[in-house]
Amino acid sequence: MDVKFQNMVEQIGKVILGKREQIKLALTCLFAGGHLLIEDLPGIGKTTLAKVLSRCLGLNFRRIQCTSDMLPGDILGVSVFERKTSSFVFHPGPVFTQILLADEINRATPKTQSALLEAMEERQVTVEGKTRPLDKPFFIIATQNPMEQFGTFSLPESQLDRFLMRINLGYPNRSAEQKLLKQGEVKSTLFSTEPCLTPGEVLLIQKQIAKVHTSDALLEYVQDLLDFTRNAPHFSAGLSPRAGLAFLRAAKSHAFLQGRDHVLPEDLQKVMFWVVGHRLRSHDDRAELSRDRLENLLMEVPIP
Amino acid sequence: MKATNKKHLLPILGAILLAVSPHLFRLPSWIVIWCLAFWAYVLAASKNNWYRPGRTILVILTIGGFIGGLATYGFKFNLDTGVGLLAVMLGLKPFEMKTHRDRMITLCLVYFLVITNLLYSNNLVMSLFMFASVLLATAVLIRINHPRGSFAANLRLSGVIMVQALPMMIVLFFLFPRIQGTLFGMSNQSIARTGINDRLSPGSISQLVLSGEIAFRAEFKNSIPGPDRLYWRGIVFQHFDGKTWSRGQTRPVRQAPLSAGSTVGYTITLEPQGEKWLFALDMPITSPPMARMQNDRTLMAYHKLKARIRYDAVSQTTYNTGDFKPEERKALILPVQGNPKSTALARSWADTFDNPAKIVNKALEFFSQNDFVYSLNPPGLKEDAIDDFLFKTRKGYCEHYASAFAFLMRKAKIPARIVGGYLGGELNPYGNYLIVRQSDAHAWVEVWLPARGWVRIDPTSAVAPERVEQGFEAALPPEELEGFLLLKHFGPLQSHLKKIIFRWDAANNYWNQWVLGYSYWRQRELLAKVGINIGSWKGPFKWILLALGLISFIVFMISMRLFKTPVANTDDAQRFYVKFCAKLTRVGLTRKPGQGPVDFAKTAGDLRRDLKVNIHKITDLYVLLRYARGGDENTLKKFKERVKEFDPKPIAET
Repeated sequence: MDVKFQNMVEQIGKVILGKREQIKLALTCLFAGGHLLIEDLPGIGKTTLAKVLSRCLGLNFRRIQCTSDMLPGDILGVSVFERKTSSFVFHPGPVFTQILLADEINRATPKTQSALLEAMEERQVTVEGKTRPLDKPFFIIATQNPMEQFGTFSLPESQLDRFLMRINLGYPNRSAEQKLLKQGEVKSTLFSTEPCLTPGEVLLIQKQIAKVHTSDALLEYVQDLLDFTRNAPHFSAGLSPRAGLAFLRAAKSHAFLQGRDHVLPEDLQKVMFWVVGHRLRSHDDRAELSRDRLENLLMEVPIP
Repeated sequence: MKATNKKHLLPILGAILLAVSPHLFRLPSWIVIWCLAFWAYVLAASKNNWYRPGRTILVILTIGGFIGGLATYGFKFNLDTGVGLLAVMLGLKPFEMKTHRDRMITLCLVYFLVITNLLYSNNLVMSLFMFASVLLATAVLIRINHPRGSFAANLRLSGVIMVQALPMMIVLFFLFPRIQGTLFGMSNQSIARTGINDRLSPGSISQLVLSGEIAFRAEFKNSIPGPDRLYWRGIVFQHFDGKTWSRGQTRPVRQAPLSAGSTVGYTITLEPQGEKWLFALDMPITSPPMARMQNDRTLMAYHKLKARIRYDAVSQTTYNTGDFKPEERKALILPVQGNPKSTALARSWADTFDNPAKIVNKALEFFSQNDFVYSLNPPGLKEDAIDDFLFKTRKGYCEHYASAFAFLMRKAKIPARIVGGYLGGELNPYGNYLIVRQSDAHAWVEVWLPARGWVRIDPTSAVAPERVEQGFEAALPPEELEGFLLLKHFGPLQSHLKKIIFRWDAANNYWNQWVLGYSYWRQRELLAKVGINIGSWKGPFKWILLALGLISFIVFMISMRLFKTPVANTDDAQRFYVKFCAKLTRVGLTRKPGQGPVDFAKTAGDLRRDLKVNIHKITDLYVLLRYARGGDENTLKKFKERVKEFDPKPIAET
């Protein structure tokens, strides 16, 4: 897998310049079967990353631009009365796809945001009392602007917990930006990106990742980490069991993409901030912890 | 030979020896020698590094031993053959013990061996022995898996585990389906077959006297009837061929209750005799669920009794069987030829007296007034056996008297038949029940008298009245008892010994009653009380049993697969990794507690390029053992060696 994986990272790297780590993390998240939240300022390349990811994985892609006047029906779909047959016919919304890009999700009202909850967790939607399964695989890639921006509704914690990873892109470095400026608009390169996988292959990889071996010693380490967040005085609340499962899933995916069939403590550490960062708040001011602080804290937990 | 194998050999051999020890007395002597010799050799070989036979020799020995075992048992496949072959293979097994897996398999075999003991005996001593044997086997199992601490600690843990298993044992004891009859219909060659035979000829009862074995135990609901009423009816002999009495045909009937007399209720725990008849006091009026009453008022079980059973019975000790039934006319049939003198004697009585009762009295008088002797060792009888006995030898045991008396009665046209069973019994004061032994076996006569029905006549009592009142010891002349080991030979110890014997028997009785007596019928009764009817379950029960068997088979197969690749102890790996890190700390490369092994190896390797290869090799092995699957004992061994050899030197100050 690691060769194919490198190839994919190369492909995407042609579009998103100088962000190899973020690209790897995004792929790790999607292969682990989790939803991805990309958080950064406007114009950094969030939407482009989401688009190129979906092209590269060869999956159906739909996009919704979230606004404050958007309603749940706009995402899930509605039944419309049809005169010819005198019956209601369901018109599926954009959620019926394989990759859904929810752009600027924090601009949508909480009501609309929570309409996505079921789709994210159960991979099915219930519209007008009828439950409809979604396609497989199904990912949501959401982007959001940081809270300080005007006119946004911050995501409730319950919904944040449903994103396996949250990554941020950050400004490109000097050389990457120079290349970008020379290259100009990226639209053409984006459309020339070839799919590297088929949907079937994506499902297969997901299955193989689920089988990656986790030894007792490693599970003990995971538990020690979880216990630490629950007992240490630095956090307002510890990690939930769901977060623990997500953590392990991300680590398995990371290990698999490195070409290993077992998880190492290093895998956990590599994905730690991205899985845990949006789930933990500082005890003092309920603000999020910086990457350095969080990683330093968790490095205190000895590996059993 | 590996040190671990050497270390574990003795405990495993000990467990095998304890488990197999009851079999040693049953096995042919060459198999016993075979086993002991091989075990002794294995033990000595491990100590002195002697030659250990290779695969070829083992195969030859296996095949040779197998054929030898089969030949010893005459190429017949039964229980004894199975156990014999198991012992033969067990003798060779220690030669194969090389890996942990072999040791585990050998121990599983030990548990199996412990169970095979049950096929021969399930009495109290055997059960206690099995507990001890399982205790040892489990302690050894703990030992070979966690070779730490003293063996006493292993034994203690084993005991704790067994105590923890007790509730499960009790639940299974009550609920596990009992089966009727023997397991797999297996016939057991070794269960004692002493007991009353279906043929009665001179010597068939007196030979039983030599056996102190218990025939059955009887507990009475109320008071115990007097000794002259303790006639335990078992079998009725109808047919006489001039020498031997045999049972003749009977058929099951629903017997009407007897007129006259009060009833006495009791419970009998009958030892297996391999025959169908059950014993009950004269005359039984009910039949237990596993038997039917016959038209001669004997109780006949549906199957031959191969296991101890317990049943309730009710009898009337005074009775009147009523009218003479036409089918009972065979109680008059005799061979036409032979025994002219006795025939003449009987005819003369029949001519003299018109009342059958008088003829009976006359005959009893004949026995008591002519000097007949009660003896265990009567002289052999010639062609006309009855004549020979009545007029010449006049020495015999109860079967001689019963046979002669019944013959005389039949010749005098009085219906007569012989009843075989037991007389009396010994009261055990610790438990208040009667012990009836094989030595209490007895035969007596029933004659049919008008208006009284079948009446019990015991001709032996005319010769030796003490037999009825005090048992055979009192009735026999002292010189005939010399060969017996009787309590009175112990002098002052006698009363103490008797107490011990009675207490031990009482303990056995409780065991039989509460543990072994919990049969199919008991379970059915008990479950019926809580509203479960097993009878109607029979079909589903079979399926449940089958499913259970299948599940345990699957679990067994899976566990065998698990054993195949012994997974290395990751704790050991961790211990050596800590040692490895400590060695690196000495040269200034310290691992942070939260630093993963691969990261650490990278950092350390970059800092000390001279150690890089070694550090990575050790780390790879560690990761394989601790985080990957498939780290086996060899990897662990290699890892340990590498860590031991790893000796980083600090960089010389420049």
